[in-house]
Amino acid sequence: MEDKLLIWKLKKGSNEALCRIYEKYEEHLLASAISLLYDVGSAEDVVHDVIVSLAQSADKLKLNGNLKGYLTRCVVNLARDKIRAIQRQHIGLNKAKPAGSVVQQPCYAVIQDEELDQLSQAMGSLPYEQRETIVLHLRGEMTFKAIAKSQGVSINTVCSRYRYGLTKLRSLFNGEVVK
Amino acid sequence: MRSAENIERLIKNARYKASAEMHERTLHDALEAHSKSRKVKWAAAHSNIWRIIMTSKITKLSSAALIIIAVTVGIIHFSSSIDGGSIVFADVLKSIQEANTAVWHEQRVMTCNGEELPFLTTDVVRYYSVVYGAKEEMYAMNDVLLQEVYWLRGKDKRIEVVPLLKQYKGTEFTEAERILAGRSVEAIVELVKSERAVKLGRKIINGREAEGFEINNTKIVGAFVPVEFDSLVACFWIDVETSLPLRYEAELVISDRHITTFTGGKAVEVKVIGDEFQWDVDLEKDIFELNIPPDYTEMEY
Repeated sequence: MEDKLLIWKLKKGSNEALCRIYEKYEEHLLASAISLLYDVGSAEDVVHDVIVSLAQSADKLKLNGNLKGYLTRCVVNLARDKIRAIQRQHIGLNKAKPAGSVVQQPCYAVIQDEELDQLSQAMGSLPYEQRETIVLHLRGEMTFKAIAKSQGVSINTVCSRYRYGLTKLRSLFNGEVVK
Repeated sequence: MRSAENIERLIKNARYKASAEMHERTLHDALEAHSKSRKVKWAAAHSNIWRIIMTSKITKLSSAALIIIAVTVGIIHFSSSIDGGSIVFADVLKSIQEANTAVWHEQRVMTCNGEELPFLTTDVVRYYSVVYGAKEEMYAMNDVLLQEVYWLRGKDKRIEVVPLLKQYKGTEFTEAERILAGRSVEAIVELVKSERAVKLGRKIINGREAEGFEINNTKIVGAFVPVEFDSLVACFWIDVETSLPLRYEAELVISDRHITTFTGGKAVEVKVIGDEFQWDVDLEKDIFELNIPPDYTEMEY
C-alpha cells in the first residue's frame, strides 16, 4: 500500500516520494546488481541509472505488479545490457566490498558479510542465464511463467535454469566455494 | 550443510549498503532528473496556452512595472505637502539616478473568480541600468524561463523573447516608455503630474523604516499598457533613510477582452508584488545584450 501511495505521489511530482523509494530499495537493488555483475562499481552504476530513469519517466510509469519487483527487473535488464556491452563474466568479487550488514550486532554482522561474500562468489560461477533466473525469481519476486515470458523461453527452460543454478550453489556452499 | 531453502533465503534477503558517495550521487542525479522532467512536461502542457497568451496583451503587464519608478516619484511629489519628516520627490529621484542600477524581484499572481490561474503565476527578475536600459526575466515553476523583455534605450525598442515558443517580437517604444528611457525629469513630471496619492504612514519593511503611498485608478498605467483596467490600487513603500523604493504592491482587475480570452470573458484579478530591491549593484553589460538564437522566428502578431 505504501508503494502505491509513493508512486502516486511521485507522479504528482513529489521529491520526498522519490527519496523514500530510493532509500527503501537501495540496498536490495544494489545486492541484486552485485549478484549479477560481481563488481560494486558497475552495480552502483546500474542502480544509479535505474533510479534516475524512474525519476525521469515517473509520469509514464504503469505498474502491474509491485514496485520492488519492477525495480529489480529494471536492474536485471540494465545489468544484462552492461554484461553484453562489456562482455565480461565471472569477475571475481575481490573488487566487491559487501557493506556492513543490516544486522547490527557485531558477531552477526561478521557472519553475514562472510555469507554475502560467499554468495556473490558462488553466483559468479553460474552461467548468466541461471543467475538472472535466480535473481528474478527470488529477488524480483517473479513467477517462472513471467520470467519465461520476459526471457522468451519456455517455462521448462526457466525451471531448469533455476534448479541447476540452485543445485550448483548448494554444492558450492557446502564446501566448494574457493575464496 | 546448507539446504536449498537456506540458500534461497540467503539470496532473497541479501542486502548491500551503498557507499555514501554513491548514495549522494544517485539521489542528487535522480532529483535533478525528476525536476527537469516535470519542467519539460509542464512546458509541453502549457505551450498551447502560452501561444494564446502571447497573442493577447497580457504580457504587456511587463511594461506596467517599468512605470514603478516614475509613478513612485510622481505621486510623492504631487500628493504631499512637503514637511521636514516626509519623503520628497527630489530626494527620491536623485537617489534613483545616483544608484545607476537596480535588481529586484516581482511576483505576479492572477486569479479568476477567486481561483488562481497557475499557468499565469510567475516570478520575475527585473534589471534596471541607467546606462544600458531595462530587462525582465519571467519564470514559472521557479526556473522555467517563459519570457525575456528588453527595453533597449539605444534602439528605442522593446524586444520580447519567448523561449517556450522560440519566437521574438520587437516593438517601438510607446511615448511613455520613451519618456522614461530618456530620463528627463521634466518629462517624467509632466507624465505623472495629474496623479494624487494617499499617504499610508510608516512601517518597517525588512528592518527598514518605510513611508507608504497609495494610488487608485491611475491613468499612467494606460500610457504603458494597452489594456483597460476596471480598477487599480497600488501601494509604494519608500525607504525613509535612502529615499529609494523598498516594495510595491498592486491589485488590478481587468476585463479587457485581450486578457479574458482564456477565462471565457470573466474578469482577471492581478496581484503584483515587487520587493527584494538591490540598488547600485554591479550588473554585467551582457545582461542587457540581446542574443536571439538563430532558430527563433519573429512573431507575426
